[in-house]
Amino acid sequence: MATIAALATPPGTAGLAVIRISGDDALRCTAAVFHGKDLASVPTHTAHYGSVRDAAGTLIDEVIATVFRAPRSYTGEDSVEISCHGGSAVTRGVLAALLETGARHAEPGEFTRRAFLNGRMDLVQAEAVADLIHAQSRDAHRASMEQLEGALSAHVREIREKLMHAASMLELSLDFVEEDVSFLSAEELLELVREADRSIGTALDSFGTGRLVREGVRVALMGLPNVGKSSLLNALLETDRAIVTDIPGTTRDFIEEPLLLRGQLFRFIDTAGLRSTGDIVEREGIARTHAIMREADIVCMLSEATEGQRGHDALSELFPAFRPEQEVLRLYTKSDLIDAGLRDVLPGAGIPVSVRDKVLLDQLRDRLSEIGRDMCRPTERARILVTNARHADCLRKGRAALQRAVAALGAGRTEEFVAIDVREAIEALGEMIGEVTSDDVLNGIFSRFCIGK
Amino acid sequence: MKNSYDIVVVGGGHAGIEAASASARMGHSVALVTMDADAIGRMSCNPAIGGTAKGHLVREIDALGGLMGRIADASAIQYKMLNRSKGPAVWSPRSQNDRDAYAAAAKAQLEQTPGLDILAGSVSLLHVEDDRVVGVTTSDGVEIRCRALIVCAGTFLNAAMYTGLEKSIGGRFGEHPATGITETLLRYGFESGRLKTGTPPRVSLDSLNLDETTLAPGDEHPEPFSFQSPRPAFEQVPCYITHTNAETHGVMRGGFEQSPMFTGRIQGAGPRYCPSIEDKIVRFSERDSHHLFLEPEGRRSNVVYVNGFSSSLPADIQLRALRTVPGLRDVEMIRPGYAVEYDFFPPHQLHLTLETRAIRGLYLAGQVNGTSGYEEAAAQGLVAGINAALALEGKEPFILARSDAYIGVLIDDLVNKGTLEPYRMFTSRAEYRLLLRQDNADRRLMPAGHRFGLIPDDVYAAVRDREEIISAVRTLVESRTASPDVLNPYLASVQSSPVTQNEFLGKIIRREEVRAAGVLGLDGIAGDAQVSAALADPRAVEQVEIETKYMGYIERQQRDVEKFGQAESMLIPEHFDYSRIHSLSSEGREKLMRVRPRSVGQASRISGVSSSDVSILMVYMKK
Repeated sequence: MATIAALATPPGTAGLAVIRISGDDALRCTAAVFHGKDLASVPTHTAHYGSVRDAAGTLIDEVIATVFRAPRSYTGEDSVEISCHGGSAVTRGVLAALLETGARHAEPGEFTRRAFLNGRMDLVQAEAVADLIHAQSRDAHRASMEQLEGALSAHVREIREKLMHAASMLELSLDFVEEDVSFLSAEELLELVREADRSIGTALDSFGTGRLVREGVRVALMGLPNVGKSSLLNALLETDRAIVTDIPGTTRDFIEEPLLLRGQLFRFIDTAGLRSTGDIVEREGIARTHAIMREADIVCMLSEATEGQRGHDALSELFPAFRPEQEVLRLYTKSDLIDAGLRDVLPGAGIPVSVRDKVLLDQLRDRLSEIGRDMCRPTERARILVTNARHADCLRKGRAALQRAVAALGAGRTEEFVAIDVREAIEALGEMIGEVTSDDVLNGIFSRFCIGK
Repeated sequence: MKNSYDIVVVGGGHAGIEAASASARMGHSVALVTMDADAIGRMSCNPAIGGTAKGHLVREIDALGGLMGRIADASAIQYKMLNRSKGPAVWSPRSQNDRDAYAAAAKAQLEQTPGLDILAGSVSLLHVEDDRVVGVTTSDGVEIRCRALIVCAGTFLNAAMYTGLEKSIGGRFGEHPATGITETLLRYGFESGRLKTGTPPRVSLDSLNLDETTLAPGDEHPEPFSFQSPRPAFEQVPCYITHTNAETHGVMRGGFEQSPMFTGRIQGAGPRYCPSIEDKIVRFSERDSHHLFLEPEGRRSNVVYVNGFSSSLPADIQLRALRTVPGLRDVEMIRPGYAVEYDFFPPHQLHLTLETRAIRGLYLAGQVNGTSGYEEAAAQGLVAGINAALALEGKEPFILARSDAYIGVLIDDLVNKGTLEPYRMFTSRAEYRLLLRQDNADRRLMPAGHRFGLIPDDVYAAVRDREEIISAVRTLVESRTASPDVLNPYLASVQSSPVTQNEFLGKIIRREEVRAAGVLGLDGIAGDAQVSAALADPRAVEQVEIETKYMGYIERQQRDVEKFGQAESMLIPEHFDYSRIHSLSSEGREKLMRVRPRSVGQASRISGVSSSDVSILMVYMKK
């Protein structure tokens, strides 16, 4: 295949950067700009010191080139990884020199696409690479690593094989009517289908957790205007992302910020302040605030510490109902303004916070990360964690088909109808692990990759 | 004697009959060359036509204008619709037939066909010029020129029969093998292989103690195979069921060391779905009993076919074993069972028209392609005959998709997946089973049969008229409601719960216990012109009922067919260079180069082509 090159590390200032070259001419292209050992003749998996120079012989950088020969490389093709100094001028220079030799710039996800096409990884593993690159927390990293090792594929393959057995038993009873072989009874069949349904259910249940791990625990900050939601968010972020003013109702649109607390990924959502208002823009903001509150994993209800019980009651009226799995925290802002003794007896097991008090802020960080970690812990019966929306979608399709099969069996439908549902489930699972693959699946997957991988 | 024809057909079995008849009726001069004109249409194995999935094939052959259904109806002595306890998609018609009457009806059909000559002889040499077939020479040295040749040699190519350690050459009891065809094709680079099949002993009816067996009668309301045959009105002949026992198995085991299979004398693979009795005893050693079906070979025949007792053990072992079976203690064996081993040509060497890739004008059909069964053979013979005729006329080939017919599934499987054992059709091979029913084969395929001139105008017109009625009544039942006053008396009569408000007719018909005819016949509904037309035609009502009752499932399968069509329409250029794609697995590349699929869809069904090979192909096709 054509030789491609791209920066494999994040752009920007850093100590080191890695540029990757892959394809039929990867060694030749690199050797043309690399001054040192003749890379075309070195063994695979060896690193070589040298310099990269442009066509005119001008030194661009001193580098280490690591050679990977096909098929023992990430892509399965001849590849070279050039470690050069970080910084955009240097990396741009090295890349430009390589592109001069006939390599072209890689498209997003192209290295991984080649790895998939060359049989270096299956579909789930390829997706895991994308997730790994985007992994922002330790748990997400672990889940991606497990998928990369094929634990999820193995789990799904196992379910699929059970269903194949069910399907073959169904066919047996249709095509071999007059043979004296024993068929599965409707009860046995039902049990087989139910068991597969449960296994998919277990995997799917983990998707809720998987989403938390992958995208972060959603924390909604709710409260009356000017209670200090934006200030708190800024203090946690230690930047000035949200606009802070003293005019009530400034935060009209919501602001979403990812934030790592003690290695745990959160998404903080600062909502518009809540109050009855005739302002249309703000009214819409408030409707959206309610929607955000319903979807949040943790809801922080903010009132001012000086308001005490009154602030607590006012909020309780505004937010009458929560889902049982939601964690609701009462935060009292500006707690530096009340006596230290009162901070322990704030209404609703309230947590005192203050943007001016580092200790209180740290305590809040501890508390949130502890809750987040609990939420992200996989349930004990789930050996695997589904983090990818496409996987969850395939599992749901498979599950829906199996539930139709159960319904069909319950309604006394004969085997040829049940067989349709079971086949559909097998196909959905096959689609997930890449045993059957359609155009859309591939396009969807590969468009998600960043340059370099 | 004429020595030049448009088309020469080799073999007068089920494939040869259809190939010769169809191509002659399409207006071509045809010679059917057979070793023995009296052996035309001879049923080599069981005296029955149809069965699960095979019955579907017969209906499809009939709808395309083939002969098998009509010949079976002319010689049937019993009818049975299999799988009646299940839904209509898997109902499969089967008949028991009078072996002599079947052959006589087949021969009569061919003799009556203008433009078709039956020649006695054995083809031993093919003539090929510029990779195109131009004629044949028989073993008597007669040369016949032709523009197309259809080889339907069945199990006769270099065939050998085995009973115990005795081996005799020949493709069927008392008949010679055919030599020369395989040798010619090998010279043109064809691949050939060996397959094995077997047949059970025949016993005399008057030596049986039938009171020790269980009666297996035909259907109370028999239905014919052919859409053109009248409802059968004869007295049916029953079959009988008995079973082997531990003693039977003991006797058989005593002969294992003289088994041509177990001793490795036969190399060819046999069918796993139709094992010999000795195979069953070995593979299922935990069972000490197997069913046997005693099938009379005719209305007045004394010959009985012992279905389930296929064997190639020595004759004396077979007889002793049979005599341990209830009802057979005094049995007289007319002829022992035997195994037959023969040449076949792995079918990846064919186009979907059944023309060979290597030699233009040469078609292969039937067991030479690795199939088993009369029906599979006939279906291929018909497709080969139609395509040979179309090719001579310079017309578009006739290729049925997997979503069109079981015949499409059969040929697609053969060409793309190949076969390691004699290939038999099963309903599970058809992914669009609910659409490919035996009851709607005429609706699916008669338009094609009529286009080729194989279905008479009046028969086709009746199908078209019915189609209009079905469509109108289907629309009516999904859009018309009826009141509780009208519905409830009928519902009560079929023990169905009453309704309390107006309900759509379709919703009522979807109830398991409700019959469409019952609902359509109600006051205020039966008066509609289309409904009364439907009520006068039981087949129209049947179609309305099936399409209404299973609407949800049928619509799902129709959506699947659309998806299937997308992959089928992603065409691969004819001379696509697979060697350029290094990322294909080496097995995948080899298979793709061998089969040269027309589309990505077809590529995905080739055995040895993995799903990642298919993804790679798609990525390349998009470039």
